[in-house]
Amino acid sequence: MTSTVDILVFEVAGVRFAADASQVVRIDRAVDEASVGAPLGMPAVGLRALVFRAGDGGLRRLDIDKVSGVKTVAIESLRRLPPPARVGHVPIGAWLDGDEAVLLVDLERMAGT
Amino acid sequence: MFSLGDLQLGVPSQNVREVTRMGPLTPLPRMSAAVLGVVGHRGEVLPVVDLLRFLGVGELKPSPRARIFIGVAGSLSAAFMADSVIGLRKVFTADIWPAPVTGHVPAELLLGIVTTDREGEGAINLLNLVRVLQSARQRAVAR
Repeated sequence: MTSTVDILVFEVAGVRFAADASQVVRIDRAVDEASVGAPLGMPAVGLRALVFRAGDGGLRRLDIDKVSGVKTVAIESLRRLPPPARVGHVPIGAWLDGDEAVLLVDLERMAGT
Repeated sequence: MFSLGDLQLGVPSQNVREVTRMGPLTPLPRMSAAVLGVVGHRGEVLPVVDLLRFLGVGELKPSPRARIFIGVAGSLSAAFMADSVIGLRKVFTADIWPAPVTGHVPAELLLGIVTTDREGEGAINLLNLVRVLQSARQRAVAR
């Protein structure tokens, strides 16, 4: 039996990223509130925000361009990033969508960047 | 052997797993300019390195002839972009000259320099891919 995980796929500046969907509290409109900055690059339009709970229990916002959807993917399709591409803790891995590597991010850890 | 900008470079064949076209490139945030991003290749995620930027001698201008070769050294592997792949050459170790300290490519990243009798092929910088991959890893960690 194949283990699966739900990931939320989103875009920032034309690049697709994914996060564990269980980390996302809600998807919100972007507002002028303090967020976690732009660890994935500056959003091109920044109309949406992912709201998630940080390790200290507080809510944080990550401004993004758009949400592509939630996908249920096999654990086997997730990969660690190879050493020369592993920088800091954002991103933490990749989901292989065919030949395309979609970067996986850990939202909770991102709150500490 | 492959060409990269004005450079002709060689890599020991035991350090090359495959030569192929590049698939969709995913750029990485906060990454050194020499690492262009990652690609998915045969179920593996590989960093893509622009050797010109890595060596500090320019940057690659992608063309339809551009290829990547998958370089391996121990547990490390990466995809390296090349303008074009020249081919496979047999080189005698006696024909490998020490790398000049003042050359375009840092001497510590070279096994040496070889020259061939073939027309259009001048001096070829023979890369020490083990050191290149280790250096790429160290630079990434240092950032």
